[in-house]
Amino acid sequence: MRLLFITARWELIFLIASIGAVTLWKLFKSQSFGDLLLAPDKTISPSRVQLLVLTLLTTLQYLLATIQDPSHLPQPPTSLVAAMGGSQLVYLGAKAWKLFGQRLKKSGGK
Amino acid sequence: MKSTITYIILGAVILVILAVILTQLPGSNDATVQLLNKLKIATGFTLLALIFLFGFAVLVSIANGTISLAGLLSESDNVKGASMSRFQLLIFTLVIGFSLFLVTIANGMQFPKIPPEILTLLGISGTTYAVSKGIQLGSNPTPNTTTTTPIDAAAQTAQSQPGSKGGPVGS
Repeated sequence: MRLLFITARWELIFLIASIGAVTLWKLFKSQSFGDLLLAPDKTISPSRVQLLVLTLLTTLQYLLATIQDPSHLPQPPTSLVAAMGGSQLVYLGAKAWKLFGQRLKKSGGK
Repeated sequence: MKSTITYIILGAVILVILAVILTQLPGSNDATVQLLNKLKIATGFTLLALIFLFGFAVLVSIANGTISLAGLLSESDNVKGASMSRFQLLIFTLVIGFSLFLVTIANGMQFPKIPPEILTLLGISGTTYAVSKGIQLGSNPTPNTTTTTPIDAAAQTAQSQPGSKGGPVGS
């Protein structure tokens, strides 16, 4: 029975790791990650940059904390959750302003 | 796919029949328990092999492009470029899923308690994706089409038919 548990554990690790690796490889091959930082008008968007930086830092910190102590899921600080919420608001606000603001300007000028 | 499911059902039925036969075999109780344990282990390994084959099939399909991931991060169908909210949701899901897997394995297959902050983070990320999608859809200018009622369409059809003289339909 122990052999069954060990086989199941390694099989899951192998499948999850390889599917994750292949997914990332295909994404890097097919998608342009440079576009992540560009607004629809192909200029660098500060709201996207701040969201990307905060996302990468948060996930990296969380992953390192889990690897260091895998006995429980680490609890991210409340201030980090608040910062993430604020960052999302900035991103959405900028996106809405970019898309709707121009239309409002045009309709106001007429 | 239908034949695969048929094979799986057939395998399950055979295993159940084997289990029933083993419990009804004459002999000591210990021998039956031992046989059932062996059957349990054999079933476990068979299921593991099946899961591995399914997983491997998915892996190969992703690798050779049968399962396309081209639209996983795309902003929308007609706009080329990666979506930040999609990317964030993907990264969060992968990292939290991987952490959950690590912790479950480290705790002897015990599912851990998920902190509410993690659920809040995932909720924020999901909401951002949904709102972003809404903003995008709301900002797309709708094509300038004139609405045609069924009555108008019928009248137009009647007018276009030769010899109809443009009269009302059915007259």
